[in-house]
Amino acid sequence: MKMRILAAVLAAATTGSALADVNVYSYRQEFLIKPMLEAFTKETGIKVNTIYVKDGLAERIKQEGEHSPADIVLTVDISRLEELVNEGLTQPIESEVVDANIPANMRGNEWVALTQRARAVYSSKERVGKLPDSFTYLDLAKDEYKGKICTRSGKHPYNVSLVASIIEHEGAEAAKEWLQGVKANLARKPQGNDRVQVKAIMEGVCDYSLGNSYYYGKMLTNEKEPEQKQWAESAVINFPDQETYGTHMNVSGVALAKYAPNKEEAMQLIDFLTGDQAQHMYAEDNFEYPVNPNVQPSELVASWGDFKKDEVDITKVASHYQEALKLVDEVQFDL
Amino acid sequence: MAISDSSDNFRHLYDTVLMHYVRNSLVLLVGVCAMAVVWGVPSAWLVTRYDFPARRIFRWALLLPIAMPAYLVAFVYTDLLDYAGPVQIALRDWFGWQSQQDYWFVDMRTMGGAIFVLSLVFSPYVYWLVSLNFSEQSQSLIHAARLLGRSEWQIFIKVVLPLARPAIAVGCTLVGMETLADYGTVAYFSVWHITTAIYDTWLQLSDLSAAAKLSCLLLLFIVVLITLERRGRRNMRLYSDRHTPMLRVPLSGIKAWLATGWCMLILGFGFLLPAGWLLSRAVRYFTDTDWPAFGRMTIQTLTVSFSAALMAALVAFLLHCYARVRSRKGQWTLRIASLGYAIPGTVLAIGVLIVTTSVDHSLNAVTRSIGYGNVGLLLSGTLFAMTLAFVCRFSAVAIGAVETGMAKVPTSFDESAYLNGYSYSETSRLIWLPLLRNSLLTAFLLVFLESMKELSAALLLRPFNVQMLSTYIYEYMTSEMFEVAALPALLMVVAGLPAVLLLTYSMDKR
Repeated sequence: MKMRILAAVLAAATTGSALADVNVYSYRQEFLIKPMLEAFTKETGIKVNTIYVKDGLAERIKQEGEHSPADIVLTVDISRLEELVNEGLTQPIESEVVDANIPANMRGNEWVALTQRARAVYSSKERVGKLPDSFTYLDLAKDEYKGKICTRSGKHPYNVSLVASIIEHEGAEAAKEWLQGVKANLARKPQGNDRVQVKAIMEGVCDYSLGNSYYYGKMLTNEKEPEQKQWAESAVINFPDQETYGTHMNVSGVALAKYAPNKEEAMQLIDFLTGDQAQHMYAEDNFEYPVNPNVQPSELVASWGDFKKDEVDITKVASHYQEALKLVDEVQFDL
Repeated sequence: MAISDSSDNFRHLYDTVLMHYVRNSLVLLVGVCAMAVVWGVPSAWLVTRYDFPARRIFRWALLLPIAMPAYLVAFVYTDLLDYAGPVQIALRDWFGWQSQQDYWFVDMRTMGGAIFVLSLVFSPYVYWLVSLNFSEQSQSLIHAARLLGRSEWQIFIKVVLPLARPAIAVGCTLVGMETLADYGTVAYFSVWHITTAIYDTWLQLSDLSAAAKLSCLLLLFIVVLITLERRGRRNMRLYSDRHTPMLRVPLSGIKAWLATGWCMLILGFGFLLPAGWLLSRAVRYFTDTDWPAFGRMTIQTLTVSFSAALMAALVAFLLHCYARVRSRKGQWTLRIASLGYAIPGTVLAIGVLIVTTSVDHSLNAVTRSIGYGNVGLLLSGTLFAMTLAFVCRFSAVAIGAVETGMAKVPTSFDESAYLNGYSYSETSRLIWLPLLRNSLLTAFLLVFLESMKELSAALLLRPFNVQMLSTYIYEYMTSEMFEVAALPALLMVVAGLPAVLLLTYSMDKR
């Protein structure tokens, strides 16, 4: 019986990989990218096989070596892309379509950014209102915010990226001081995800929270859980550092796997993801900022206003990632 | 791996957060084990010794929390007890409180919350093992104590409880290992412990050797735990051969209701409340259901859990046969095989990945050399890897379940078999196997239930286009999109129910 199950499983697996599909390893969650992958299949007839993984993808690809079925890897941030590139698990992306679609500062030799999200500061509509343009991330460490800030774990990639960008702009010492200051100002131990922090603002637990911009859109339009609309409506989204470097942006992106068995189809998918249709979907369905300059943000996102984005070289930010992660431990941010 | 170059990362962890993590691990471990005993032992005593309303139902229903994944229960309680949850809203309405500053309320995302949830869902291990032990204890001891003028309470404390110590210890070991390996629940509650550190160093700092060091530290915890437990009852052989069947004492009046109330409390907190909550959510979002996808997920989950359970039961049987034949070496093998339970799923998954991929590479080298070409990742790229990880992780449960059964097979059976010219394999097939049937069924069912719930290894080792119920639920749960996951969560619990019922049946057959 066991052998029969095993045999069936093996047969299913081997026949699956015999077709010229694109195999996607994804750090990004299913609900965020499935619509784009389906649109790609609809347009090209190429089937997309996916694995959604939260952690350990790089390790998996490394172990699989030259037999790895992975064609492309989708990630939630630049640090994961850098990790793949540094580990030698990727190959150059050579495509005129990509070059035409994506600005040069949003792609490297072996990776391409697909979307951008602002690391926003949410404030209570009732108790604080909109923050002034002069507000910066560094302000969050000031004494006047004591007991008023909520955030998710300091070790989440979004927060680590923000710390890494502060290291890039202000140096490691200043970043550490900032983390200490923010920790001292926390209303409660870091917990939950970005949405939960906005909920906490509604509940009166805190007045300010750190959160990615697209969650605001996701909550405001949540028909299935209308409570989330109330969470979002209790808060204002703010884009800090308007008078200095600009708001910190984190990117999601794609890399081409080193041993991609279906390189041609994989390149078609990468081209597609940078193209107008997919970028439009990222904007409309996920409320992210498209990286392709031809595509406008969704109406809702546009209604939050134009703002200055931090134009710093994102690979430099990524290079501080491990240092940032260690700073989070050093100040015992999560404890 | 662990003794290779001493890395800065380990030093960094040691200097910053490691001690805190170790302390948290200890508090969590002691807290969860203690609470699991508080939930499990009195209820086991009540249902074996007394008769009270609904006793027959509680006897099996108290096992139900085992069908609930801990991360799910954690999510339910957080949702219920949150500031915006129904409980606090009701309280504010009653007492006219305006904001969070006006009153104090329990915070689930704390060490206390983690201990509460984990002890509830793991307590069936203690309940199950201890009630087996109670029902096997000799009535004559209790009668003797009674004749000597001891009260019920004194009998419980002085006679029954010491006799149940091995069962409590084994139960606590299982609970402790589950606790130390847990990631999903404690991460949800932001209670960081040593498993967190292993994750961070391995998957964020990409430092395998520091992670391996930490894993060794964790294993050390476990080895100490197991050794202490074994030493504590080294010289105990407490079973009485003369077995008089248990006569239940009927309870009446307030005592009967207290007994029912206590069992109801555990069942309510550990199963009914979370299940009811899931049901209400599932009904609310019923129309949004993607049935074909859920169908596929359920089949994939059941297939993997079934194969893993079958293999684990087989492994447990073979290892016990080996231990029977080669006592010393066999016992060591059993202990080592049991350690997998304590290793966090992700770490174990990467271990399995390393092994299966290297076998795959060799396989491909062989097929290439005979001119067949590459066959791809036959083991690591299929459900095989995930199944193997589950087997490694849950063999301890299966081994534990078979152990009690094997201990009851007298060695004189083996000796007469050898004298009659049976080989080892014949003895195991014709004598041990039939006698161990119920233990093996128990082992199978426990591993099946655990495999359905297991998360971390499944998150990492999934092949293409495979979605398990557990991974699906966890993804949407942590994204605050539980509406999508309510029905699969309910499906998972329902799929576990027949196994729980069978488990009670196999308990009766012992």
